[in-house]
Amino acid sequence: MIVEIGHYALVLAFALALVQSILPVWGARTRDAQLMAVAGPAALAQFLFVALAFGALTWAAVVSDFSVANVFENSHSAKPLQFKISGVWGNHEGSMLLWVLILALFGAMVAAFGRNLPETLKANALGVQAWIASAFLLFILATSNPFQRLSPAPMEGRDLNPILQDWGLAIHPPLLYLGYVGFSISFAFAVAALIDGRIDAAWARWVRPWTLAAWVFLTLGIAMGSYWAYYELGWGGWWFWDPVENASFMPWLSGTALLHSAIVMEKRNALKVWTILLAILTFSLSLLGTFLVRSGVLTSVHAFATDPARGVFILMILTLFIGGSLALFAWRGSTLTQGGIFAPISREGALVFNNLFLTVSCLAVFVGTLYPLVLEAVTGDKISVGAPFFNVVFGIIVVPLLLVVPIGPFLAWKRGDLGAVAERLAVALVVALVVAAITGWISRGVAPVLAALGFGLAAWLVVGALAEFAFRIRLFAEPIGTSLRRARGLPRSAWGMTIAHVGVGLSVVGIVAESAWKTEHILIMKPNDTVEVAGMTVQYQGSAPRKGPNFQEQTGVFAVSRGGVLLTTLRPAKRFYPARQMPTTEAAIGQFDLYASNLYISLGDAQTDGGMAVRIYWKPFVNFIWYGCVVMALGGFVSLSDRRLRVGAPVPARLAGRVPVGAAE
Amino acid sequence: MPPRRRISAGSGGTVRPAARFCAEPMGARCALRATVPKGGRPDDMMLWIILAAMTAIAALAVLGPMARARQTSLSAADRDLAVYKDQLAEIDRDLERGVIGLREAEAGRTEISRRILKAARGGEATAGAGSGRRGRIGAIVAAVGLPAVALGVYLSTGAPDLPDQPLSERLAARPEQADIDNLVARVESHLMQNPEDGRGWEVLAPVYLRLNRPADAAQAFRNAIRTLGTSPRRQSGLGEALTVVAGGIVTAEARAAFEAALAAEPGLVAARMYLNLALTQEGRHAEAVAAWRTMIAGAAPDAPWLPTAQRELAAAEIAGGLPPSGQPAPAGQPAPAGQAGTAPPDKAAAAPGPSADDVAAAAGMAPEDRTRMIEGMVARLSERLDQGGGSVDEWSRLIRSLAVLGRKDEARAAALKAREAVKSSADDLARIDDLSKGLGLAL
Repeated sequence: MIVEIGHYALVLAFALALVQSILPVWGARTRDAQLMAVAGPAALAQFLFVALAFGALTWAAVVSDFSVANVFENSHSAKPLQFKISGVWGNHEGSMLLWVLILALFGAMVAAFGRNLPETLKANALGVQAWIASAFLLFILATSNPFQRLSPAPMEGRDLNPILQDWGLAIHPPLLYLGYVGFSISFAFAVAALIDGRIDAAWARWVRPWTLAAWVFLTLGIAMGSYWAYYELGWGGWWFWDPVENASFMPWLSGTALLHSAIVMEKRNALKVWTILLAILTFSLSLLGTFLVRSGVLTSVHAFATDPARGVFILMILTLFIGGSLALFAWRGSTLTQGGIFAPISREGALVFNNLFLTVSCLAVFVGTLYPLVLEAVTGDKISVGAPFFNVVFGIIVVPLLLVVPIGPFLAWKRGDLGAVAERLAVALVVALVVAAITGWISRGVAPVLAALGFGLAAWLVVGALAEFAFRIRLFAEPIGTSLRRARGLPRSAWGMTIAHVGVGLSVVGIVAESAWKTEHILIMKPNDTVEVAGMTVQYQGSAPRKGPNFQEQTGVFAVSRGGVLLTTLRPAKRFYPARQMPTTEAAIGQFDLYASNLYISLGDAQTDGGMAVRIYWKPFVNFIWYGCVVMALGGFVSLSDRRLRVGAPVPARLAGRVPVGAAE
Repeated sequence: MPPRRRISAGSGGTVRPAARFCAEPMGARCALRATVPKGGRPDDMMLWIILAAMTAIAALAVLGPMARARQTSLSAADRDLAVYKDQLAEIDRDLERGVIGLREAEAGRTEISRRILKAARGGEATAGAGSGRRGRIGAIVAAVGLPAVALGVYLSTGAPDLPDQPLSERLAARPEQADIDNLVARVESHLMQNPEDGRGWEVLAPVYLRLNRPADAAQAFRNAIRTLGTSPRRQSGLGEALTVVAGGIVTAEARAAFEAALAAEPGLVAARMYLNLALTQEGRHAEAVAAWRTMIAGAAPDAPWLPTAQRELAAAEIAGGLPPSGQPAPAGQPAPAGQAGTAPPDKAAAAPGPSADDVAAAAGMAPEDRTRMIEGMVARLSERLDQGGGSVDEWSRLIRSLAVLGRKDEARAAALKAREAVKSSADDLARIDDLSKGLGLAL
């Protein structure tokens, strides 16, 4: 009964989404308060019902109700409880349900927190949100219904893909979806503004926090996915420029651009049309990601669904929303008024530069990802655009962008003074050059140029961000007490910007260190063999079988010592999941240098002579990649907590001139 | 591994699902999807009450705000003013709590006051309360459209008659299953301590197979063979487990096990069937057909495996483009005699089947082409029988061919026509009925 209640709740949510698609928008057009009033409660009720459906499916998975086809296909009674729960979204149907749950959640949040919004804007935005919800609920009900039943119920389930039986699955998709779907709010507001034909201040104020929230989650989601791939797939890599990764990276790039252009719009009332276009593009890229992953166009661990009917359906949704919104933009965009002029050398100018480079880098990823697919569809030729292409092209575009990051915040709005900025950044420049010289000298035998440029850039980013902060609180220029008081008084959005820009620098440290200094040993080891890695001795002590709840594994034991002192023991394993007849590799990762560097060991195949194929990687400072992402997200959170985002009152220019203002002040 | 040629009955490209000869035709592992049991449980009524309540909540979520909006509708300027007042109050609150500075608060107040002035100038047309007509349409949508859409979609996709079946309840309903799980766990822990206990492995192996843990089953059979020595049953079980592991493909290892089993005990039915299946999978259709025919010929009429064998025979015949049963077997192969669904050779000789050329052509074709050719022949046969009637053998051939091609409805229709055509002979009628039953066609 619970399952059927869940199924019916999903259907009701669809019916409500239809109502919410029509009545409020109609009401907004005819200025009918009665019809517009429907939007909020309908969005809340829609969320309630989708949550009910999701709860019912989760319940079915927890109690192993294999009369639900989706549970039978993706669960197993012996699976640990946490994976029974996370397995709910570890498959196509369930993850689509999570997708619409989060969509409904955002709609409900607009309804709940949108009291301040002008009624027509709110009605239109929720109406657009409901269009998206209707399309995806229909998609679920028509092609991917998670509540399909089996009778009689099979005795045992087929278990979840073992690669997905991991904590990563519990965290990565929900975070990623919060990001992807969060951009639907910016999209809905953009389309609502186009429908209404005007952009008011409420629009500008709303878009930034929502974009920021979505961006924070997407950042964390991508970082989590990257870390998961790193430790689970056993290849020791953290980013493969795989089309599925690119599918999540493209909305991140354009979302980052949107985040920055929304600042200009909020502060200076400029770049409005461009911001609307970016909001549309960002969500379109999220939809494109969904399409690429779900249509069976790509083969990967993410491609749950290879049913062409689903691909065609999503393609239709994609065409409808992207085509529709862009057509609307072409039609109404010109009626929107532009405002705020600025000199090229100014805060606005720097942010336009940022937007330009982010968009172009996004375009590069887009071409590299889709070109092979299009080529194969048109000519049947299979080519692969791999890491070398992306590394070169993306690197060329992104390095100038990173070079400018510390400069932008120093520039004043409207008209900036590069000379003064150069003076204030002199310290950062000196530090960067010293770091470059030192690191280049350290790695003179390995990759001196990469190390020097990379670490120099990272130092420039980190010190540059801190220098801006120090300048603003007049550190060393005034007594330390005054500086601290100034730091406390700084708006949280300024804190957030500094933290986020430092995070970018930290990620660059990790990326460069990992690329320039990693070492790799692939060898066959017999018990008691040793190998020297990064000044440590790794001894293979043998392997032993072990039995888990729903798998068997062969665990290798490796003692890691330096100078005869045992540092740690690592136990990589090869697992076998009988229900799916699938092996997985469980790499063992030893943490060194205060949780910065990794010794990464993964097992290959056992040899007939008692030897074991072993891969050992030394990854110096690799964790900085993810620490950097977490710091970036933290910056986003801090900025999000800035109360003034909700009032959105700009500081008059008179005051702004006296106090150097932050990116989002 | 031998060439992984799979049986292609039906369309050339389809792959047969994992073949597992089911002892119980409706066993849960074999039949995943069956009819939904109908029947009134007390739960049913409860479910509908809850669904109705949910519908009411959804409708109210739309109707409620419409009713309230009518009472409190304001002009656009009033509403804007309310928003701005709210914002002013918010600034005061924030200032009190110290989350914004005095200067920002002042700036905010100025900005909002400016907006209030602008709003007061009244740039916008007054929004009316809902017009009666639009309100009525909205109300109808909520009260009628919403439940109609919800019910319509749910009734076409839902299964309201199907109760929840959590594992614990299913176990409680089938205590023997819980016992089996307990037993398995006990035996497993015992064997963990005493891996040389062959009898334990012997008991456990077939249980594993039943629980759909074929890899464990194969290992258990191997252990039993290692500790107790070989036996036909163990070898046959090992072969079966290996076949299930390989997704229904009889691998070289599995075939060796079956052959070992048959060498010791030639009457072992399961091993024989898997070996016949292996012949088809390897593309040795003529040999497969001969083997099936021999096996069917030697069967007791009520042997439980007979329908399966006949189905596989028909599949092998279609796949090989060979004359269906009822035709004289090619020279050098033992002729089938006297089993259900096939005629004695002398009578069958009169029925025109595919010519020797057809058969030769079919053997060299790509699977798709072969299927197309077979379908062409079936169509011709069907047309001829429809127009001019034919012998019971021809009717049988048509019914079986249609069934094997997966066109069950047409097969059923053909069987009904056949009964009409041969109703004068009780023997012939019985043959058609037997055949239909064997093919799983409900007449």
